[in-house]
Amino acid sequence: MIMGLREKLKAMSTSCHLQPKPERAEDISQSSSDRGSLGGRVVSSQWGQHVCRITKYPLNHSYGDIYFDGILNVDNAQVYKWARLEGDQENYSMCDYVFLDTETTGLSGGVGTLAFLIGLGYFEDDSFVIEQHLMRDFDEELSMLNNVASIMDKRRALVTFNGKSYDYPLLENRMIYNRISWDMNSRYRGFHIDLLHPSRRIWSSLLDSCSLASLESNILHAYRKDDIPGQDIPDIYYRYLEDRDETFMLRVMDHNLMDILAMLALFIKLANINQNPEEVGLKCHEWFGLGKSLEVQGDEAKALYCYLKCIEMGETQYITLSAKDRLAMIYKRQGRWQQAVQLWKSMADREENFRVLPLIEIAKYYEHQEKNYEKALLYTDKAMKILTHTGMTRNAGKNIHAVKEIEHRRNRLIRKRKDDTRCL
Amino acid sequence: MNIDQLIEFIHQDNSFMDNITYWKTIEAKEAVYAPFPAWLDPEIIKVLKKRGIDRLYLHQALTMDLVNKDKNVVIVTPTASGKTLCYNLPVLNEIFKNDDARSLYLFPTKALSQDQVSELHEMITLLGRDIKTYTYDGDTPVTARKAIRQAGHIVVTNPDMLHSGIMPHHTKWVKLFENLKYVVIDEMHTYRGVFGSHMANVIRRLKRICRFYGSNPIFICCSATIANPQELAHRIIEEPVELVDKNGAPMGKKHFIFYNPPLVNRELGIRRSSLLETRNIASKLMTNGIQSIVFARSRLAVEVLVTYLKELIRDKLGNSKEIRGYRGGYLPTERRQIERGLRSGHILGVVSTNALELGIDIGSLEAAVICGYPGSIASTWQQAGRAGRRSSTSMAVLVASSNPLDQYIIQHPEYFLESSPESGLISPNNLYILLSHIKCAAFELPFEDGEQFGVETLGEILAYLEDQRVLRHVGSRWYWMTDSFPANAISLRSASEENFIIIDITRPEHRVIGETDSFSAPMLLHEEAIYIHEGIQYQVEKLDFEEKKAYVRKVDVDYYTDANLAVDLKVLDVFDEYKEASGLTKTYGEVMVTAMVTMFKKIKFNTHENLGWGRVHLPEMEMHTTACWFSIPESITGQFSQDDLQNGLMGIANVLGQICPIFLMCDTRDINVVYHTRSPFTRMPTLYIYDSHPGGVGFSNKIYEIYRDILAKCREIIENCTCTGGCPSCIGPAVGEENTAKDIALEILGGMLGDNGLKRKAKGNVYQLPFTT
Repeated sequence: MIMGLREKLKAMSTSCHLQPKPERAEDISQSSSDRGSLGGRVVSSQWGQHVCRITKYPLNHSYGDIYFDGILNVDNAQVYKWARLEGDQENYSMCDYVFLDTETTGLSGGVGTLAFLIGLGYFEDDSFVIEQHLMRDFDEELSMLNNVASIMDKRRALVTFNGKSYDYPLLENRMIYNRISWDMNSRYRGFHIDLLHPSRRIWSSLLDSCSLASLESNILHAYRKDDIPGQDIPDIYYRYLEDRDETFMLRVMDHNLMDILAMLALFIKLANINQNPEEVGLKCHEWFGLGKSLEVQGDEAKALYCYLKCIEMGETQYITLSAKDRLAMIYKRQGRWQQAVQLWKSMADREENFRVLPLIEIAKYYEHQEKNYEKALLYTDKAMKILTHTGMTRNAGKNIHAVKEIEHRRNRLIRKRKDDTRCL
Repeated sequence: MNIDQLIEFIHQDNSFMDNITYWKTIEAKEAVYAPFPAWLDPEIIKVLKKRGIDRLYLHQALTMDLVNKDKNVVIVTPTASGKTLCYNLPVLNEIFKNDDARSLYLFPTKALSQDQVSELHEMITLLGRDIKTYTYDGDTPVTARKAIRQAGHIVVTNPDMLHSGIMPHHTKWVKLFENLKYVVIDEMHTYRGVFGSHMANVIRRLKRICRFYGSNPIFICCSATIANPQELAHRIIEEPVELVDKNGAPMGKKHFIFYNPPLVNRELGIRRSSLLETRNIASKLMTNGIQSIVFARSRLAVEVLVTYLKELIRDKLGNSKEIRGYRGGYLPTERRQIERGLRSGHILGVVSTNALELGIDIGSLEAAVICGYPGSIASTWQQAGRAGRRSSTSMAVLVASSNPLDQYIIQHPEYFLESSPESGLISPNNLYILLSHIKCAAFELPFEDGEQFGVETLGEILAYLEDQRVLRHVGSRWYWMTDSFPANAISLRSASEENFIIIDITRPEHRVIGETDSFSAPMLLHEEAIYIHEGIQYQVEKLDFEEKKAYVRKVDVDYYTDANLAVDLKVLDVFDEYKEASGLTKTYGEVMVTAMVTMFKKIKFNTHENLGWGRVHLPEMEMHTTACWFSIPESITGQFSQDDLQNGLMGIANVLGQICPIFLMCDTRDINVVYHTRSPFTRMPTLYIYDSHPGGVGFSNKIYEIYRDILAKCREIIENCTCTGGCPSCIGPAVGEENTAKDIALEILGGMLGDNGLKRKAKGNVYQLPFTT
């Protein structure tokens, strides 16, 4: 019996559990004349064709609580600090920013994943302009990328959300693949602001998820209607390639548009918080997040202020205690022992205290500063008691390490106490 | 006694010599030298001289000459003949000339990569140049990866990483692919069968990406002795290859001894255990301080032997030198430590699975004892080659087990010594494998209309993939249009799913002591199993199947455990079927195999008594694969009682499982045999032979074609066995009182072959092997 290649392939696909996708109605002709323009215009050049849709917003427009003219108050020098940019500080105006968000053919990564829709937002003539470049099929990628490259070439400061690990490397790979000159070593090295990280610093203690969607509703108070879930987007594109039905693709384009608006709003919000926290009216959690962020930036004095504000508002115990921990450590570094010890004691002497850190710190203080080994031992034993009572079952490996450390400290203290009494 | 004295002593020992079926002496060989090539940079020559290398061996010079003329080369040389210089020198010389030049080294395992890098580093340090050599594999820290991609002159990796970690991200490796000058494929002989077929496709993809970036690398391949190195290299790289097989390295005198454990009971065909005989021989060597390696076929056998040898050597040597085990499942750091110990001579003996067959650098030992025929001529030579020094005598002993293949080899050593080693066979166009790599290739770069990739029918396959909505044809190209990363779904080695890790909970600080592949885990790590690691016994307390973790605790008992694997099989689909005149129906199709560990036995050390058993409750493992099966009609089997039929089929299955690999040039583990006295599918007595790899890789298809030769060979082996009613060397141990199983098996085989009338006529020329070429 001779089996045709196709039958063999079919036989094999059942054996290796490849689910053949359901056959669809006859393919619609793929010639580019049948490709619609999805509410944009068709761009033609030596590179071929693709579609570009442009949307403009005046500066008095808002997204959620945030008005776009807030961009005028963004302090360039401050941005360098809170976004932790590494390059030498340069002056750039709002016209230098380009906001980037891509929609891709997959989430699996690798060179087989393409960006089929690239949204770029920038300021021009007192408007916020969003250009959305879309390839209506794989043969339009070169045209799309060349256009995107020429727009990005004119703007020095890139703003993304999670773009450092996702959108930007992907785009870079597609540029390399298509041999579009794209100097990967110098471009945006110092000017890429990935909003994910500064957002996490401020809001991770408040929000379970620091995704753009979560930040949008919880922080910016913007609520989307009928938004498309991100993980459905590759399939929508694949379906569009086959049936050319624009309904869902238009919603993907709107999703991309909203993402860029949200990025702009988030950027302004972050700049405001970092520049004028008092005016913005921060919540307890946000003071704590800002404090951490400032500590990372090396601004201890301001961080200290934030922690005090947080403790003063005292909304939840967990955050207050975390703020006290950090505050006490700042006092310790500054040699303000009285304040540090007072804080630690306020935590350690609570009846329901299960935390080891303040006890250990007090023990360290008595051992190294006061040379009062008796008291140091007292607090060490308290810490040991907590650990052995609560910690052993959970997180065993880490606790064993901690127990060993405490044992070590304890033995040293006993030795020192003995030496002490001998001296006396 | 030194080794020469020991060999003399053995010669005098009649009780030992009685068991020797053949003693082959291979005379010493002088070195053949050649001068350094004129084009080699003087600085490199200076460093070589500093390391005591004043000239090259002939094969090194020949290789370098060809490489310098931009020819692809395959070098065939024994272990420790200085083959790494063959490629390191041209590669380093090229970097001296052009700092942008890049090279890619491919080794089949991570361990080998690491060896190579340390040797290269030594050389580069002496050269005093900034030549960056990096290992890029699963263990490479993420933070180091970027630097390697951009700046590594020499990237050392394995095919798996190239397949799933490098090529699918080729835009990050522009520097490498644009400037790729040399690709080194070491241990090429390991790329046989399934792995080799994958490898050939990986190379097709590599060359495709190189073309895209405008490079055209030269391939330098190294192989142990196989029958067809040039052909295999050609099939893997699909380009003309020059062969270098004139070995210029010197070699001391070597003794190759074939040892058959004595018969304990002739009628039952029972021989003394090959494991215990190996123990005796190895302990004789080691107590005389002769550095030796012992090869065993299973992990369990390795551990049992280590336990025995440690016990025996300890008393006499006062434990001054070590005996160690070595096998897959030991942690990398532990293995490195053992390798170092062997090189330095600190470790006296090592017991290993075929893990040490590969070119891991352990120096050259004085003696090798091989417990059981390793399954192929090439492997046997490789294992024997682990013993062999440049200037002094060495010896290798092959101890036969009682299985049919071992007994055939040990009783016909001329077959072993005169036939060439096996050919490395691959089938890169095996549809299953090819299709996988076409997907990966399409993911990496869209196919152009009219492009070639292995087969002429590429267009048809691409069209099929378009139907499946995997690809999309636009303009003249085929684009990937699926949200998946195809390389992750394809493993180059069939049985390399996630490993189980083994955790010692004897002390409060839990410690990982080893790992094992998921297929072996139910056999080795079921609850109550005794897991032996480095000769120390552990009992498995808990097996977390979901999390792939086994928790073990140290114990001290006088037994080990051996688990029973129950295998069953269900027919899913028939691809092809043919009814012979004899009434026998042969079928080729698809089956689902289920395997389950149901119980285990406790076996006492030394006496091997059965001390009891326990049940195992573990989930079934399932596999879809291809199979070939034979349904035997009433006319042949009708005369037998149910019991007789059962014994006859079991006997045939035993021989088939051992003999098929010779015809297929594969490992015994690559196929399996199952029989049903009444198959629920065919409703007849049925013998199934299936591929042990998911989806099948063509073994059963081949059996479908050549089954007559295989059945005839089975008959020959059973007929010529000296036992009366069955023994481990033919149909398996005799069953029942009447000892009729052997006759029944022969009767059935005759019926299947349709020539019972002619039976036993062929007795005169029984050892003519149809498959020696």
